[in-house]
Amino acid sequence: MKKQLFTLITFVSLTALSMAQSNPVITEWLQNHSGITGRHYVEGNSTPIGDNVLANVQSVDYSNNWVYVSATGIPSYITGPFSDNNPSLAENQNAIYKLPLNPTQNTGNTSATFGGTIGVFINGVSLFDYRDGVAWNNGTDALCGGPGNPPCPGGPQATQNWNRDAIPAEMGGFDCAKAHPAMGNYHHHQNPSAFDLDLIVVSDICDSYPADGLYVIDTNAHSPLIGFAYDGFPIYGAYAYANLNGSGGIVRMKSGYSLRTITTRANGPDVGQIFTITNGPNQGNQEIMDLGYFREDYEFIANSSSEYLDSHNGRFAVTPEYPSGTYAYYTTVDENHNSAYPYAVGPTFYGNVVGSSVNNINGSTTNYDSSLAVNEFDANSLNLVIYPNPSQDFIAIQSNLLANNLKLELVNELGQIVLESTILQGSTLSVMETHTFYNGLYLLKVSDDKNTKTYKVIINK
Amino acid sequence: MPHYDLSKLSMSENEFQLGRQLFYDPILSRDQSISCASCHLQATGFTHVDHDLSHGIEGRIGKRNSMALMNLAWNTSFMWDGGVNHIELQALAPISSEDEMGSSLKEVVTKLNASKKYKTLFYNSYKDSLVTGQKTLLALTQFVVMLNSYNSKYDKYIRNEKGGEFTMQEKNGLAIFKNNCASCHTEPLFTNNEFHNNGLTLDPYLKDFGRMLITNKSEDSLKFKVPTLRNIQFTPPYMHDGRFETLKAVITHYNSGITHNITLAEDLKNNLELTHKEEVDLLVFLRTLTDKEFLFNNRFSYPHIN
Repeated sequence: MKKQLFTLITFVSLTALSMAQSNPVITEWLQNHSGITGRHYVEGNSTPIGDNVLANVQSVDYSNNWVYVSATGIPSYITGPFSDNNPSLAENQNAIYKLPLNPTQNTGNTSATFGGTIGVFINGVSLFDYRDGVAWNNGTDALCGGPGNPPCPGGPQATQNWNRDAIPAEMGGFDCAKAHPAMGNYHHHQNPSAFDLDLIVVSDICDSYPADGLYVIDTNAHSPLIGFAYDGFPIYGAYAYANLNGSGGIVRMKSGYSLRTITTRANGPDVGQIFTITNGPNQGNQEIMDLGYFREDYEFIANSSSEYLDSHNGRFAVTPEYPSGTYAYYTTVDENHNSAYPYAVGPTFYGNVVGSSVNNINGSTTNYDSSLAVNEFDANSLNLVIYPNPSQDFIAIQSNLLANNLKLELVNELGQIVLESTILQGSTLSVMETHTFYNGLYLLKVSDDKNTKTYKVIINK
Repeated sequence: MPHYDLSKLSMSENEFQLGRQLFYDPILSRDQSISCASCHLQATGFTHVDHDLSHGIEGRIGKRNSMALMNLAWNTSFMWDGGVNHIELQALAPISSEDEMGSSLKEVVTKLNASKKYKTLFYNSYKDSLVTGQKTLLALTQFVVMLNSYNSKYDKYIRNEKGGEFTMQEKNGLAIFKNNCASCHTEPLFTNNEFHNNGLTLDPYLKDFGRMLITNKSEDSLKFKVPTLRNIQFTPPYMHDGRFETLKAVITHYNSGITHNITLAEDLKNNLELTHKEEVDLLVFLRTLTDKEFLFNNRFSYPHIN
């Protein structure tokens, strides 16, 4: 009895301790408590293949100054296919990301972002900056770096004058969630919403291989916190408070960068010059080096309006998670919701880049188990969209970002459950096939472990 | 028994692969822009889906919806009007049509003879690297006669195989189908290979009288080939001019939209008058004709060699 009591007290106090945690860099990660595993498409088959790798974040441990996030780097949304002859698949990264609990501003020389992971989304997926490792070598008058091209002078981390922008260049290789792998490391360079949700759709990949992405843009609500950069500062989606103090309603965050009006590039190819790739998987492809082909085609113009971001693509402002304000980056999009340079973080960091991927968790740490936290189920904040309603052959149920699995049950007029589905944590969409159902009024019950909300659905064929 | 005498073909892997290369190669069109697969996409039952009338070279628009390609050795005629009666000659029609590939067999043979790749492939198939029109058509025939769909849920149900367990709704849909549709869409091919007027109003712009254009007989006015219903879930739009985008619209047509005139098919003189539940059950049954093993069979997909 005494021992049990002790255990109980220990449990309560430990729970209380973890409850007490309120630092978003500890609490915001999507910890996979339900065994969700990854899925991927291969070219030519619209049925995804289930993988034996857990999705999202596996565990979160913290010390006095650091948080350690263990993640596979695999999202709960379906990855692939990568239609630009990229032979890589999204593979388990077994990563441990070490990030500072108290990020600090870099007051010295700014640090440029670099190739590879520069931040982590809350589902453990890597963030890369604008670059794809291809640049212009003026000595050889040719593209360098990347598959098929000769290496750039000085190797992959050396600075080049003209660096290719991955977003237009690799468009054909992004999956529906706007991401792709590099040597197995699946990553987003940009706003991680599905292509087909953009107001003007610039890729048709979702038609054959639908996936949902990490979150859905809601123009009427502050975007969710979707990740952290390697300097420890948070990354938000595309919409936020108009004013730095949280007032003024919701507006689209605007990049401070715009294309220069140039026709030639110093020590680089002319604007509009055509380059034919001579080697590798894309041999014979003609690259038209229009304005926007290289990231140096953009220039930063400071704008004092609070919705315009600084040269790192962020600002200091109040956010829902940081009511007293924080520096934050935003995944910028244009008015059509297409990704806008510099896309997320960069081309320089605001803070001191002390975070990284590490091999071990060092020193004494405490585990943070988000399943012990109180889950506030707030149907309103889910922004659930049920479409089409009335529906015929299917209904799509979409939320803007899910921190926990959401169970969906379609109930007929007799009270029988006729169809069940789940929107997975870290994804946003479930499509329920209703082609077998007769016309009538149905109820859609939406629930997590604790709460239920019911919506009316009409099937009218 | 197939209608076409398969013993005329070598059934060799080399000839099949040659036919597959040709099927996917825009070299068959005048300006190298259109291949057979431009209108006949595997994942949609070897037909186009996102537009009603077929598209050809230089943005030209044809007069009819493309037909789905499957189980062709059992076809007694080809095209919506049956204007081609032999599978080996069928490819001549799109190759030479001005609204499709705009070329000629002679031009195609000249281009193939200038291609080292095709000289090799023809040699592998026929032990002679000289490309001829006859061999080109035979190789295409060898590929398309292999496009056979027979592993739908319906097939497995009929064969009593695993994966063929019908729900009550599917069984009911099959019964409705047998009573109302099967006289023309006859199992197991889901076509009787005949031509019928199915009560569609004449499109005033296309003015397509169908079979009559071939036979010049007034009794063939507005008659079109009865198409197979296999993989029908993935082959919209429907009808010879692609006028219906959904199967629901097709059933609504047969239920209450028939235009009566002198050549109307006997079986369509009375509206179907299916109830809502019968319509849904019939639609559910039609999905059992989907054969994903066929639609995603890698042997029929774009050839990634060379």
